[in-house]
Amino acid sequence: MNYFRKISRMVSLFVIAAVFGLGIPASAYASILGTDATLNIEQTSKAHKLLARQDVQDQLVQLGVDPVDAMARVNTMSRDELAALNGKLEKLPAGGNLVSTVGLIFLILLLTDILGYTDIFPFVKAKK
Amino acid sequence: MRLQKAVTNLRDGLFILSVAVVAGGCAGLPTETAQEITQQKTKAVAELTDTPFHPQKAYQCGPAALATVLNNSDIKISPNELVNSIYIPRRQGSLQIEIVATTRAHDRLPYILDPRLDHVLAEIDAGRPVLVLQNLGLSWIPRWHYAVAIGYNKHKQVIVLRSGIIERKRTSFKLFDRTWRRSGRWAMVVLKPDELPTNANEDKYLRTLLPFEHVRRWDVTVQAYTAAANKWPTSLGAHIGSGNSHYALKNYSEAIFYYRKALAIDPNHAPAHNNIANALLEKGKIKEAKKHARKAIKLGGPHLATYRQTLDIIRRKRFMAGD
Repeated sequence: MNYFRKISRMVSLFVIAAVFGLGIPASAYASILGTDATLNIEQTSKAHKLLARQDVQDQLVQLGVDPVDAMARVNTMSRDELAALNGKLEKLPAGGNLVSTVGLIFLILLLTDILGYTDIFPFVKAKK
Repeated sequence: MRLQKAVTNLRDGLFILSVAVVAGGCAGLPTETAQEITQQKTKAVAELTDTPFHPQKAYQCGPAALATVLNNSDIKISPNELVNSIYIPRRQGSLQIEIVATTRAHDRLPYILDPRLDHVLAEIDAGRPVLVLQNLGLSWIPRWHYAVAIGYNKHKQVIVLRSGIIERKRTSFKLFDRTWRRSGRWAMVVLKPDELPTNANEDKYLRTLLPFEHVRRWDVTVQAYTAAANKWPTSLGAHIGSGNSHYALKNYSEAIFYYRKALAIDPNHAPAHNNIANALLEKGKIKEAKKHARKAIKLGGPHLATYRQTLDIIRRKRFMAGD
């Protein structure tokens, strides 16, 4: 598996270099400058983006996302978004986790709910 | 209610402990925020009662909240259809970036508001529900949650949310701000391609558009950049973006029109000279095209190689036309 990944990574790098490195115009608009150029926005290289895309895709799969969905998902992301996600999927806030509150944590949050610092339990009316 | 009574007892009994728990934590609604809210010219009371309601299943407030704001922008989609796009099973939740990217995949602009409550209210006032990320727990016991702000009442200092399984969750501005502040006050509105947010920031709006340009959604960018050019008559980015979109759609006359406006804003803008040269060439105005390409080369800068390439293309075309 690991061996296969190494090879596939080398092949991707080669293909990327072949397409973007040798100056083959990628499109008919090759001579038009994108709006980024007018905004002085730093652009990450395309090769860099493609590698981040593969990494984020793998990380999504590791977190239980279907591999086909994972591919579709990274394809909708911009360069900046891929860079922002890469390696941080386990740490960034994931909205949705409302349940599984037990024991001491339950007591603390119940208390802070009552005092109006948190807002977990619908049956608690916060102190004014 | 017995539970309420028990809760009241708990409140008094454990007050001291709780002070320790939240020490260093949250004060009331910051004075600036309170002032911002009173200063905005929004209505005193507003509620978008037509906003759909999708009671969330376990963990899936992300898909439910995103479906709600997309529906309001005329995209027909259910939370279930969004699960495969934004839900991460082992995190039991959804990430902001995937919500943003998926909004784009539906040809809608995901505009992140400035972190101000008054801007959230202004969007509601303009008919757009606002997707917000809250941490309903504490910074060290996070309970991240997406909700959709659909209404408010300035007199009662209350915000109304579609939240989880609650259709109209009413929360005081103060408590809402405490839970919202922990996410850095993250709030997103969904815009149609020709729609601008009430408190639009030029730079942020243009940055929201760039990813569409990178994947060549010119039908989207042409509307959005043109709307931006109308809103900000001195915005270089908006005019060049509109020109670029028109060029890609082969509307060369319109492209030239917007590039000319860009050059009126900044006559020494090399990328604009380069791009208008390409558009003029397509219209067969070779002499004029050459003039702009030369000007771009003379001005130079980081994209000099592209300007030279443009001049090369013009020369080749001229040669082929036997000119």
